[in-house]
Amino acid sequence: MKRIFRARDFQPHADQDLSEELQAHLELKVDDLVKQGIPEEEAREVARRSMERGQGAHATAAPHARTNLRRRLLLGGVEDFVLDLRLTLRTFRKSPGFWAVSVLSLAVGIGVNSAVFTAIHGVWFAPVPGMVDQHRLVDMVPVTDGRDHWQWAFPDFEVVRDTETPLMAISAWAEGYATIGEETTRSERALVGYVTSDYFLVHGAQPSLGRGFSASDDEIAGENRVAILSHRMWKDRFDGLPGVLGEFLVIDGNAYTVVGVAPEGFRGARVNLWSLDLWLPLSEHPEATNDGSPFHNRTESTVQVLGRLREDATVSGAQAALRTVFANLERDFPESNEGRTVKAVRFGRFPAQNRDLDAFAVVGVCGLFTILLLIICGNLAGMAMARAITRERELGVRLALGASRSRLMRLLMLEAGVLSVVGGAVGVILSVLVMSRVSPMDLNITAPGAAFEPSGWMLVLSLALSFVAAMAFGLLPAVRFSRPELMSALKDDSGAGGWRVGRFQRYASSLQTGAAFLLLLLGVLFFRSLTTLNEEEIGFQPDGAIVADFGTGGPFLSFLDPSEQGFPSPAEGGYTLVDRLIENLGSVPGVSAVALSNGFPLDRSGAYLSVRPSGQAGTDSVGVMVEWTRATEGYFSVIGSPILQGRGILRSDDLDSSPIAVVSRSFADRLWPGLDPLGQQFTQVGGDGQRPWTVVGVIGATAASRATEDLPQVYLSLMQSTRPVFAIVLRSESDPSALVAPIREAVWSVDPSLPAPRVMPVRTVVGWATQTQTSGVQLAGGLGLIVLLLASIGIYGVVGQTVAARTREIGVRIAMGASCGAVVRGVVLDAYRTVGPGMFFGGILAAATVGVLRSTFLGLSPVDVPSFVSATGLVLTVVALASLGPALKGARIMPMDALRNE
Amino acid sequence: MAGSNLFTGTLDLLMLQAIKNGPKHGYGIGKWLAERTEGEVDPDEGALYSSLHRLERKRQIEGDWGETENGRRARFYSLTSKGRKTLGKEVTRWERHARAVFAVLRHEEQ
Repeated sequence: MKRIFRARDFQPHADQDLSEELQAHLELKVDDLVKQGIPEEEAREVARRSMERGQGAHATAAPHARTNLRRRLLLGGVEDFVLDLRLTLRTFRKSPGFWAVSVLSLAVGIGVNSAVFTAIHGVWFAPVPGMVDQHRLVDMVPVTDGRDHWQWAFPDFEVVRDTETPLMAISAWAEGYATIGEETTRSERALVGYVTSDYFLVHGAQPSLGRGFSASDDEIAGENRVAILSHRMWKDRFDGLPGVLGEFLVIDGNAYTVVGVAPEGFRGARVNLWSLDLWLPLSEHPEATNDGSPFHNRTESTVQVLGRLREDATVSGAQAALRTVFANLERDFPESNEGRTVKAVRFGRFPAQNRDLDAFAVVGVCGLFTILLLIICGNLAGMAMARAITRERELGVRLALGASRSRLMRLLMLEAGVLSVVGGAVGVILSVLVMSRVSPMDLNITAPGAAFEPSGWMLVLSLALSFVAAMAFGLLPAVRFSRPELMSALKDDSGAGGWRVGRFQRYASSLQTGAAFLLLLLGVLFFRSLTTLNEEEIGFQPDGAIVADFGTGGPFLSFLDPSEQGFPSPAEGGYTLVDRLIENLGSVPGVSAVALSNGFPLDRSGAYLSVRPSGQAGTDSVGVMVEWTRATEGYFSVIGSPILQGRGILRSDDLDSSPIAVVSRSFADRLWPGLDPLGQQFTQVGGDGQRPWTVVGVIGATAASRATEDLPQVYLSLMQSTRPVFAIVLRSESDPSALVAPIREAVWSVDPSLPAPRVMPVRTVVGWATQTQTSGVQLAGGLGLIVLLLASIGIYGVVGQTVAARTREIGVRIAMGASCGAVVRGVVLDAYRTVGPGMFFGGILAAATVGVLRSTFLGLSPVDVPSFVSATGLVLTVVALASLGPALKGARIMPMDALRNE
Repeated sequence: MAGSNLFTGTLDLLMLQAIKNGPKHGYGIGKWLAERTEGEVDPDEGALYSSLHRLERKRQIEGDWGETENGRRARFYSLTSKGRKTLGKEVTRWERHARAVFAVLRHEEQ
């Protein structure tokens, strides 16, 4: 390569070359003339004159000469390079196993990293679809006494909106569910954004059809009932016809005129679990027009806010201006705005409130995978060092034959370079193949518009990583072995043992094995936590149980509030809806039990209550925290949890009878230890004057609504609620997908205006609840196995090289009568000694990690003996297997061969 | 001297022919041409070396330093395979061309 760079100053060389050539011409001519009998001086004169006549010979020929010289030099560099490359490929051919393993482990490292880059880019950095000029958007977070809030008090927003600030415009919105459709048509639930008029302007979301909201749309409720549809809803409900403008859409019983369609992909700015389906003016929010509307209350946080900067404004300028406004608010309204200020942050896909945490998570994930690559580099460096040791004689011979040190170094670096290019390419291809089959939804990432597409950005980063990796593992051996100690290398010292196979690689393998052990332990522990969850602790039977809720997507259950739909409340004698639903659903073929409830074990929608035994006022004012669920008769049959004592909830437990409760065993034991719980009464702490609940039944332990909690459970009668909300739960041996249509028919035969229920097996709901654990198992376990694989490669290398380096010593031992078994034992024990410290620290780290995570993972113990035993067993087995090959090779060493040579 | 009268490109062709049977240095080529054409073609040094380096750039010949029979250092030029092909093509072309020209000239003489 150096020669290519030197070719830059080819001009003087070329000119000199040409001058020499012309000088030679002159001399030859003189020789000729002299031969013809002309005296030398005269001849010289004649020749010179003739050269001058051909004046400019130099000048005319020079440009050609320069080009030629440049080409010769370049070609020389390329020839050297080609030669080196050929040499490199030959060494690859000579030890294909070594190179295959190297390429593969590098491919794994680069592949995993580039997959992570793709994911992070797709979720984190890709712009939110449908919005222009996102760099001018500002998130504004209200802060009270150092705590970030998600929402603003609407009056604060109004003051900021009406004040001159560096913001060009500012908009507020609230989100809520509404039922779309008329009684006679298909109705559905949709997530609605109730927005101020500048909403689309601020977001930079140019409607793809029609218009955005205007100021007049937002003035008086009911005056201008206009709606803007999401692109998706326009396609789904109106077949993407342009005639949608001016059409009417019935939303919660009122007719709205469609005036616009949002740009494609735009579902709101936020990375929410749900995406917005359509937009209405904020004045149309169900609570906007009440007298005591929370939107007029300075203490109620009701809206989210986003602002757009003027062209020349900065985020910090906006923050300063906003702080002034908030300081004035604090002065004018001390009772509500005391201690409240605001911070302005550039808009990003993730909410400003959590961004530090999210950024931390991203950096953490990246760091984790970069460590993986570092491990691989360490591994490869170790292997390359080991190989270089055995190649020391080859390199020494090359050096002795006159190869320059830089040439040798170039050769060694070239090997690393080729390796990293091939490994990197394979890795990138692998990651593209894998990521094209995975969508963000599969990973439970519900960022709107997020997609895992390979980007140039990812490619550049991956290649850069490959290059850095090559430098990392190529440089050390290159520097060390481009200067082999010539004499000792030629003197056949290899195989004599010594310091060289050693420290660096030993530390590297120890570290890797420790990391693998740590990750495997975590994987096993998570897995144990998950299986206990699935077996005994959940206390109900998810198989065969089916939930039909009223959600529109997203991994949460949504419940129906009949009073929102205009049905009379139970207090007004409105039991009909509940009764008829149960009756109709109960007659669906294949359904063995049906109930309505406002929750289900592990549905993550739990409600909490602090209770204490009746008649003990004052003695325990804190009470016992319980989770409560309202359900109808049949609920316990549906979840499959038997009544241990007393009875379940009955249809007759309605508002006319006294409040009853069915409680879990743990609840009874907490409140009335040693007593018969049946007939006991308890009340809500602070709920003085309320009628107490009487315990009528006891069931065993069932899972709470969240997998990470273990709370006493209380079941109340749905019929005793003044405003029941519910989803349908039922038990059936039929395939849930076959039940979708019959269940919908049953619901609509009660009332066609009811929204379509979403039918799914309870296993799905349990899957949502245990997602964290499942990902934990997959991530830690998968990563652990990869690292273990890499570590075993490292161990194989270390042990192999140790055996090779100790050939002579082992030969002597065998000659002295050491048995085959003793040699193998010695080598394997040596491997264990190498990895021992790493495993020790890995184990401590795993225990510490679980200690920290304990609150998040139910039933996880930091010193779970089976987990430790299985992970340790696995790692030790792999270490033994990895060192067995070289150990057996060592045992077969012929003493005479060893003493004669390597 | 007559170099300036030559058809364009003809000198290059003659140079290729000059080294067809073995490498020659620049002076040798010039001398060979002059002898063969009885002084009719005797390119000056400027034309000679421009032509040589031009041909080298076209990869029809390649030059290498060597020693002359009387011990002088000189750059020797030899044909490349590309040069050999070009020479063959050009000779054919020239023969046809010359035949055509003569045919016309002889016809006029009669």
